[in-house]
Formats: sequence, structure tokens, C-alpha cells
Amino acid sequence: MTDTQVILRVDRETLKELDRLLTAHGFKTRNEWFRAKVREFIEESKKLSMQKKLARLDIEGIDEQEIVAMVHDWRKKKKAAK
Amino acid sequence: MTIILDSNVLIAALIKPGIVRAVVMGNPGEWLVPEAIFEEVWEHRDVWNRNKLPDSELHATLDMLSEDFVNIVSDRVYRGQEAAAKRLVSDVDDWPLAALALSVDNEGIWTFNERHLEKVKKRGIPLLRTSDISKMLKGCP
Repeated sequence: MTDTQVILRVDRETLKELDRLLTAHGFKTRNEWFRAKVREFIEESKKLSMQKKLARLDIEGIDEQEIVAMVHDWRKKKKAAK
Repeated sequence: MTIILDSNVLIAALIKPGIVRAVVMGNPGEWLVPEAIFEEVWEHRDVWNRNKLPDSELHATLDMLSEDFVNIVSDRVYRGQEAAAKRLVSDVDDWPLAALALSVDNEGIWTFNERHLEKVKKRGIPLLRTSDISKMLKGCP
């Protein structure tokens, strides 16, 4: 994978504070922190997007045993049809 | 950590808001589903798609689920264990679950129906309940 350089602008005081906190949170460099945050953001965005899609399939109040019965029923019908 | 999902757990992640979905979403890439089980769930979408979403939308949802959260394992990976697996399951349609569990390193099968996989458990493959999964993984209530 090829790295691409990203240039960001931030005021000096904020950068100083960032550098102090980075090490306190276990990051060795700004780059390491930035990569971790980008990954985290992408992961969270995908999760949110997936949750929105799944919400359209929601069946309120269905329980685990109803789902077990659902699978059992379609398999029973399939076997009976053979 | 690698955990195999039974069809009933996969369906719960799809249609039931709550802990199962939250755990699957919160731990992307930890889950394996045999291709045959994924296809079976798709084939019977008319049963669980009670909100009558169009196929195109369902397809997009399942695509996203399999790209980012759940690994669908090709039957080439577990087909070699078919005969052994069929001896371990009470419902023959469950053989891909047992075969996959015999073919790859895993922490067990997450299922709501332990009874139908009793012999799998006797072969040393753990059967996991939702409460077991909650203890094992991060981000669980």
C-alpha cells in the first residue's frame, strides 16, 4: 500500500496539547494517532450505516425461540416437499 | 477470536434489534458463516423479511454484512468434513456448521438451539449461548 501525505492546519497551542495527550494515551507519533482515528471513524461509520439498513428489517418483540422455530419450519417443509 | 454463527443467530442479527445484533456489529470480522447457511437464509428470505423489503435492498444489506462484519466461508473449505459432520448433527441441514467447526480454528458455535448440536459438543467444539459470547467479547452490555 502506498502512503499519501496529508497536511492539516491547527493552531500552535492545540498542537502542543495534542502532543502532550498523545503520549499520555499511548501513541508514539501524531501519525500513529491519526491512522488509528481514521480507522476508528471508518469502522464507526460502517457500523452506523449497517445499523440503519438493518433497522428496516426489524421485527419488534420476536424472541430467539421464535427464530429457532422459523428455521425448523422451513426445513421441515423442504424435507416434506422432497 | 473466531466464532461460527448458526442460522438462527444470523437471522437474529438481521431482524431482531438487541444484543445479538449489537455484539455482531461491535466485533466485525470475528464471525464465520458457512456459505451453505448464508444461502439457506437468503433462499428463505420471504419468511424473515416480514417488512417486505425489495430483493435489491435485501441484497445490498446482506452484501454489506458479509463485506464488513461477517465472513462467509466457501464450501470448499469445509466440504472435506461433510461425512464426519453429518454423523454429528441431528438435522442434516446443519452439517455445514459442524463441518466448518471441524475444518478451521474456532472458539465454538453460537447457537440458540444447543439440543440439535449435542454430538458436536461431545467432539469438543463448544456451543455458545448469547450470555457466553457477552462474557468473551468487548462492548457487550
